[in-house]
Amino acid sequence: MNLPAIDQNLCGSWTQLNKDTYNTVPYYLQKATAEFRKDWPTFANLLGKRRWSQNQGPILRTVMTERSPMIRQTAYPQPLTVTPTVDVPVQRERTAETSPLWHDFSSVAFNWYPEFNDFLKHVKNAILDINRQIALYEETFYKTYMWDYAPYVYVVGDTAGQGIVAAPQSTDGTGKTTAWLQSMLNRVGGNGQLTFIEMSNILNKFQQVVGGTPYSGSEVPNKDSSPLTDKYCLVTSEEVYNSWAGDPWVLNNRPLALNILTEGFRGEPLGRFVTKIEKFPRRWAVTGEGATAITEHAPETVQLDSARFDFGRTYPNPSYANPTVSQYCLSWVMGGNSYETIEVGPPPGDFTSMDPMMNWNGKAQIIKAMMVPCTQPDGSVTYEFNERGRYLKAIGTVILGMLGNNAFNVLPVLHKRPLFILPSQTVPNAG
Amino acid sequence: MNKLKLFILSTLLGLSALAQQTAVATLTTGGTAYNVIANPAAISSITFTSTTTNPAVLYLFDSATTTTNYVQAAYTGVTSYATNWALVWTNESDIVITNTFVGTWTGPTTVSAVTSTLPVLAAAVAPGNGQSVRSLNLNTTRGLTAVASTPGILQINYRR
Repeated sequence: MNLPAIDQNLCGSWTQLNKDTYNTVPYYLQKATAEFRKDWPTFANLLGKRRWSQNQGPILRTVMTERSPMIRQTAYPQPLTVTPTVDVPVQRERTAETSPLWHDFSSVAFNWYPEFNDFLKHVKNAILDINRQIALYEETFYKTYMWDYAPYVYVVGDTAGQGIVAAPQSTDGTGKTTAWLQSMLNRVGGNGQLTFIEMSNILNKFQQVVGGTPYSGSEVPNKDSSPLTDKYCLVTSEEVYNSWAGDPWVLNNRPLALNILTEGFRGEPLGRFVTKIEKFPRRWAVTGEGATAITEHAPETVQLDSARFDFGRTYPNPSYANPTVSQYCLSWVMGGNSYETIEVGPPPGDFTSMDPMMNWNGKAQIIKAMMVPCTQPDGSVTYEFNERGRYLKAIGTVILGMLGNNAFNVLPVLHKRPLFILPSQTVPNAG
Repeated sequence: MNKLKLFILSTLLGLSALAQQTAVATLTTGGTAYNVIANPAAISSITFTSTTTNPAVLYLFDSATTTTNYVQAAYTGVTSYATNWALVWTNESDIVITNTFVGTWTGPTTVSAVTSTLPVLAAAVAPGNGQSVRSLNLNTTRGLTAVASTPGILQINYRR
């Protein structure tokens, strides 16, 4: 039948239009929120701060007075009938040095059209994303520096010593080599978990061998028959904290008021560790007998399988998250006044007062001063200034520094990750 | 309703079987390594039975193969020892003075590559034709390999 038509007899016929005849909108776009676990800084709040003064040279050196060592365990003064012997203590000075370091961040170049045409805005989100990456970078830098600089590490379940190990130091990753780390990971023995039993040993070794000073509280007994109440800071992962609800020592000794069934573990382990949770703890994956290959996997990854419904999602990297792949983890015991972070302040005024403004405050900004590609008639690509302003980028620079005045007060702790939060139980004839 | 109960019960039993596993290995030759579990596992208990009249000593290693040795690559470690350090200098009156400072030297030391035996995760002793049962709380990073001094049968309860 022709359409339109007139004067038709419709009995015994069926007239229908193709369902694609009229205009439709292919997608009904609505804005939604991608849910993810939030980030938080841990170490930036734990470390002291020292301001950098401009025009004072490239290296900041702090000078500290060191008391003379106690070198006697017995004392026998002379009778007054003879000339007394004499002690000659000599106090010393020691120094710590640092220089500022910096790192750049940049978004991709944004053309104006998607911002005009697309459903969502992108530039603002790019700025927020760069700011998050800068904050993560800062936190990662602190951890990297403290790991490289640490004079001691603690090996949980040490099969070759007492747990505390003097470690090579550097500021560029050359000290604690992969081969050295292999030897340390192979010393993590038995259960390998950061349990209360291990923490009691860490407490003693940190105090007695390292000479660590408290994170908080008094180092002096406040009365007779009273234990010291000073506390140390333990920075560890959420899974380790959760595992304390199943710690054998906790299970054997917990007061009934500690409701681990519905509230989990609460409190400060041994009354001496203030605990802080770290979002992205450093983890190592080992393969080969004797950890002959050690890999560090990225904490997060992106789902690239377009056939999956979560295509494009940023989520925990399975290789990092799975304790059967990344089996080892790093926690930290921290005392007081260990490191100071460097606050450099703005760049010299002449460089910040006119466009393009120099900035290193760790916050992203939008710039248009850039070169953009231009295709010449002969097909060659040249670059010319973004004179029409059709492109922009978000950029950021962060300036960082650390000063290890009392680096011994940070003790990295190497341990295995818990495969299960609660201890494995024997089930008769299971399987 | 009965079908619903049966479904719930079967689901729970199925989960239990998944969560807890048992491995049994016959260690037919004394002194030979047998790989019992080839993946990381949480070991909760072992039952070791000696199948000869001799007492059997069992060693467990964290290994995914029958290899119980590993090569530790050479590295630079740290060593320290008590020492002193002498500084000879001339003072403003042209008197030569020697200061000897007493303390501890801590510095790098080269550790050569070496082939070592993996650390023993746990050990058990079973009397002749007897049994040893141990509750354990072990996490392995690679697997579980067993070596017995004389033949025996090893049963392991674990989760992974």
